Amino acid sequence: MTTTELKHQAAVPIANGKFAIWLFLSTEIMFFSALIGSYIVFRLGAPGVGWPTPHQMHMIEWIGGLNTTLLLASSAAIVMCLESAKRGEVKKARLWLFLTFMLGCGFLAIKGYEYSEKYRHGLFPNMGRQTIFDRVDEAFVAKIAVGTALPIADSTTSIATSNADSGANMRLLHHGIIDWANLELAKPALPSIERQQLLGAIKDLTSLDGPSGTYDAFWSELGTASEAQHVQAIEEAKSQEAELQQLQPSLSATEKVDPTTKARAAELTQSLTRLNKEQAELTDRVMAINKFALGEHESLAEQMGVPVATVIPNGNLWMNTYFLLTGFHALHVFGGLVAMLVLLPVRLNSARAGLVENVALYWHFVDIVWIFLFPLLYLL
Amino acid sequence: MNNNDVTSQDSTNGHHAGRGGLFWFLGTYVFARDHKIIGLQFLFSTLIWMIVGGLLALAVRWQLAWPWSNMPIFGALLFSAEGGQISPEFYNVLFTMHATIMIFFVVIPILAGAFGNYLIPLMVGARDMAFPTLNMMSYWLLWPAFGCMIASMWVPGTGPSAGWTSYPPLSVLFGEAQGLWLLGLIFSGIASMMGAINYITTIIQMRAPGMTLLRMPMTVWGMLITSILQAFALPVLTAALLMLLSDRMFDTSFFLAEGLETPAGTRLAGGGEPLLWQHLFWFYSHPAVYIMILPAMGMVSDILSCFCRKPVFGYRPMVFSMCAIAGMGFIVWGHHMFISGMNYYLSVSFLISTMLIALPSGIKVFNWLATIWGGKIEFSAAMLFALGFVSMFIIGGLSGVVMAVPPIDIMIHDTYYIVAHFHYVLFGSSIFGVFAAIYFWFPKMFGRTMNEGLGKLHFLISFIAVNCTFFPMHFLGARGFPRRYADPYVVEEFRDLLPLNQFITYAAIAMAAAQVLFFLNFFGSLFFGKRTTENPWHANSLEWSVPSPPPHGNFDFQPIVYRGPYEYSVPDRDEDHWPQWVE
Amino acid sequence: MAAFNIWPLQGLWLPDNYSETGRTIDHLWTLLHTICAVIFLVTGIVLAWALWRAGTGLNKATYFTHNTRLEIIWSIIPGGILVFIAIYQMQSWNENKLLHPKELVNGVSVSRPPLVRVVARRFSWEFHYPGSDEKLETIDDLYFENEMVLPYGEDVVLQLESRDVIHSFFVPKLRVKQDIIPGHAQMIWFQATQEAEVALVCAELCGWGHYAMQGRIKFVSRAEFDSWLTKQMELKSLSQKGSAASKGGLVQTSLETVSINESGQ
Ligand code: HEM
Ligand SMILES: [Cu+2]
Ligand SMILES: [Cu+2]
Repeated sequence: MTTTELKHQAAVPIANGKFAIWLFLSTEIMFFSALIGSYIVFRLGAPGVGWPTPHQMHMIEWIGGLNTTLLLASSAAIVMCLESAKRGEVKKARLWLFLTFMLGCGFLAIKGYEYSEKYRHGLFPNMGRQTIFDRVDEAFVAKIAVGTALPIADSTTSIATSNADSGANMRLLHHGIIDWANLELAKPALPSIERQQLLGAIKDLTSLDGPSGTYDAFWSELGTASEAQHVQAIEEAKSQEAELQQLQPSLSATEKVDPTTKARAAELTQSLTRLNKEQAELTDRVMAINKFALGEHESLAEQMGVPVATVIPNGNLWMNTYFLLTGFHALHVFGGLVAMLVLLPVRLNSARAGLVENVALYWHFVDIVWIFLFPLLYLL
Repeated sequence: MNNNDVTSQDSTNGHHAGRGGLFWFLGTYVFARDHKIIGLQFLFSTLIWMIVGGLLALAVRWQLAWPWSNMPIFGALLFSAEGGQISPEFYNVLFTMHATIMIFFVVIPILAGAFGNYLIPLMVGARDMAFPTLNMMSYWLLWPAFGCMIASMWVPGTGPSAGWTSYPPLSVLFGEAQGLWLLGLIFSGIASMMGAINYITTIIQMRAPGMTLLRMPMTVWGMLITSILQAFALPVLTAALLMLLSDRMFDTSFFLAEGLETPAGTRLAGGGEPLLWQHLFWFYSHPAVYIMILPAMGMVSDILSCFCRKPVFGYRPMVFSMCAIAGMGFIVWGHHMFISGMNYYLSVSFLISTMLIALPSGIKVFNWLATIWGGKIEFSAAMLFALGFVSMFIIGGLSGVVMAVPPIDIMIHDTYYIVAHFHYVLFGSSIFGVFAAIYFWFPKMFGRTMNEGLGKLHFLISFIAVNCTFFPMHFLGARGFPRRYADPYVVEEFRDLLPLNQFITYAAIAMAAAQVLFFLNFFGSLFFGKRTTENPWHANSLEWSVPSPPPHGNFDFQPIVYRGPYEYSVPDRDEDHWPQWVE
Repeated sequence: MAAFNIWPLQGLWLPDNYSETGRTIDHLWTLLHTICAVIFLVTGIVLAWALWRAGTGLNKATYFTHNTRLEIIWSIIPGGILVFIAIYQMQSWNENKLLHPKELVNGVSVSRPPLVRVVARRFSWEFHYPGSDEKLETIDDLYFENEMVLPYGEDVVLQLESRDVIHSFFVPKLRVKQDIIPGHAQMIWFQATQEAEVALVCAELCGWGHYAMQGRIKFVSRAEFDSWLTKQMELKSLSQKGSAASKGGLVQTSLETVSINESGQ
């Protein structure tokens, strides 16, 4: 067999491997262009109120920023690895590669955390729907799934006791749950047992629901009630303050002070502090309710300490594209990590610097894709 | 350079470890890394798929000629449940799988996979592809794809039946088998990608000294441009396929609009965009039609030149037209969507780009004619098929221009006129090109020649039958006869077209019969063909400088290229050919 | 356009055309096919001649590699023809797909509203006519399946919708085709020229019953159309009042109530 290498005239003065990596990366550019292009089409074409804001979808900038930093740092690290390998510093090169690897793992770990958060909020494409509900409290959902009405009422109270008007909260929650259950029912692939349970839950909840009926009426009712409470608290505070004022002369008298007056004064002061606090809370609450009526759902959920099922217009499209973009990016990160894992036991001397360079090129590409995704998903 | 050995096959074919044994066999013939073996693997696999695809087409034709009547033999085998009758569901499976197989498992892999693999290293003067292992993987990745396709046909209910274009929502909401179909395409796409990167690297980086880009045979140019198209268009299809798969499997709704009615009741809002699929799909699939013809164009140019004993006319314009076709191929996809409901002002720009791309196609035709003009023609089987290619491409190209006029497309979109068009370019041209290439390079591949007489008969019947089959389809289309109809005759207006359809089916059967001749010839010649020498056709390009079949490693000398590949009948020379490697 | 009348191709060309805008399509069709036929003949003759000459036994092929002047000529001429076609077809495209018909309302020119709402679903066509309120998509809409009556001699605008997958509204004899993408309402328009009955077929694969998804369209004069529509409204209100069985829903009426003299003219 002839083993002599044949002479070639290469058009580009680089190694074949590197040439192929560049080609491969250009195909990857086309791949991500298709994905990002689709994202842009969906985003610009989103009907109605438009695209959800990052905050609505629980995107947290600093987490994304952290991930960006990790990737950038890892890109720098792999460059250091390449430099060390070129100089023949095998140990150093291995260390830098290991650092790159760990930074990549960190990126994936944080991504995993973000995904689990999305899942916790019920934000994943789990049915063909354009409106997505931020998930209601899980204990509730579990109870509904079992289909028992009584424990639902219990847990409602337990969740809502911290608030003055637990009945109103309950109704609010019920509405959210009924909406959610209806959506769930529309899934074509829903197993029939689950379907039965959901239907049962809806029935139970509807019977618990007062006669007042529609959502809107409920909200204005809640608003008025809170308003009234608010006013009442202010009135009460006023009268108590007046009484305290009256007691003031006798309190400040130099002779002996009537102990009952003293006790009463202390009581009043205490109650006033409480009322002031309550009043502040009620102010917040009324504001939150008003905001809710304007469509800013989360503040109410936060204020009441109860997760409420809230509608996110176009949330479904958002999630489709979010998981599409970040999912394929994460897969590419994973691919890079596998390549590094393969390289780790290898002696990275100057002869093998080419290998490192190829991996580094790929890794930079993955990095660049993320540089595009970060602002698209977290900031804009 | 090694002068003292080895022209005999044994000593060059061996591995260090000697021959014999299971591992040797697996390494040499199964998981082979030699580009020639891989090329042959592609060739045999795709020829088998060609038979499958052809039978599917015959079943389609059967239904159109004698709707709902029992199919002989195959009916009893395949549709015993329906009493040998094709059901409408199965009719859809038939044409879907016919197109899928012919496009993705026959034409594309036989051109790029079989001939690309076999010829590129030989023609540019390399020992092998740049990445032999990648090459091997690109072939073996086809097998999961084959597996998915075969499995998808046996999914209970129906097989994939949304057409090869797989438009959602149909392809998402209906048909259990579509997922497997998508998976199969994804696999074959990744395989093609690997091949493309390998070919480009080999062609750009591993040419023998003296083989400048403009001394490369047209075949190599065709392969290069095709690979570039693959590399840049396929990722888009892969992305789209993955999104469609996700719509089916993960409940996303990229391609599902709001409020669709589904078999399971009204589906809630989806918010996606069905048209996006068409854009992504055609962004790939228009370049793909050139992927399916550029290598054939290249090979036919070489064959014409060799059998006319004349240089290819206008080598540079030929190369530039190929490049132009490739470049503009990326901006004409909308001509498949003239009446899809996209913005109709956009149609105008797609019309203009399509007109532009028709020009280089036309120029190529004129160049071929000028190549033939004044030649000393040897009418071998390969030459006949190459001539068939040129004449059929004229018809296909002209009907392409007709369809590219949007108002006319209103009338003929999704009718048999289109079916006529793409069969002229795909069967009449690409497949004829493949036949020409097989007759031409068979001696190189196997050291034996195919039977010329049988080959000419094969051509004669095929040529007549192809025209009898596909030309009348223009008339069907003119009448508005829609494609993909299981029984068009339920429409009163189309009832009188039954006899014409029967005629077409007879022609199709004749065409199938001609292919039996081909397969007999092919497999017979493998064993009994006349033994041949290095350069039976007195051709010029480098592959003819090595023994037939070439040994492992191809060259036992350092090939150096002194001139272009088309120096035939050079004045003032006695020999009528002047090979590239001769000083 | 009349069909070809050359044996054996009788009837194997464009079907009769009953539409105003279709005329431009037919004109382009003839033009393009004439150009193509000429090019085909010229190239065919060149090819045949070249082969014939070669068959007469040359000793040696003539060696030539290019001819710049020739190449420029055969680039520019086809290029010119293509550009001409591209420009020439614009008007037809405008009429067919870009310029929505207008009408005068109180002296103001507005887009003509759709006359019928066409809803495609696997595997049937539904036609919704405005009821007595003259508005579409209201409760009193009339509803027919697979059979539609339209007036000729005026611009008719249809609104196309799909309920499930992509369908395509194809009427060969009107030279009208339009894919219907679910989620997009499409408008199409045409002006029929005479009394006729034509086939409506589906031209986009929509499933196993794709081939069976056909309807009929009858064109009648405006007066006949109006009286037909009034009659249908009466029938509907009758059946709503009269029978408890049809619970005020949609009534399906048959086309038999319009009498068209098929052999007329
Ligand atoms: C002169 C060059 C060409 C022009 C102007 C042209 C134009 C067109 C147009 C406008 C259509 C769309 C028709 C419609 O859907 O209404 C079409 C369809 C098609 N063309 Fe071409 N074409 C050309 C060459 C080719 C070549 C070389 C091939 C393949 C080797 C090809 C393969 C196809 C296929 C497969 C379709 C049908 C796709 C489908 O709907 O299933 N065409 N062509
Ligand atoms: Cu195309
Ligand atoms: Cu259909």
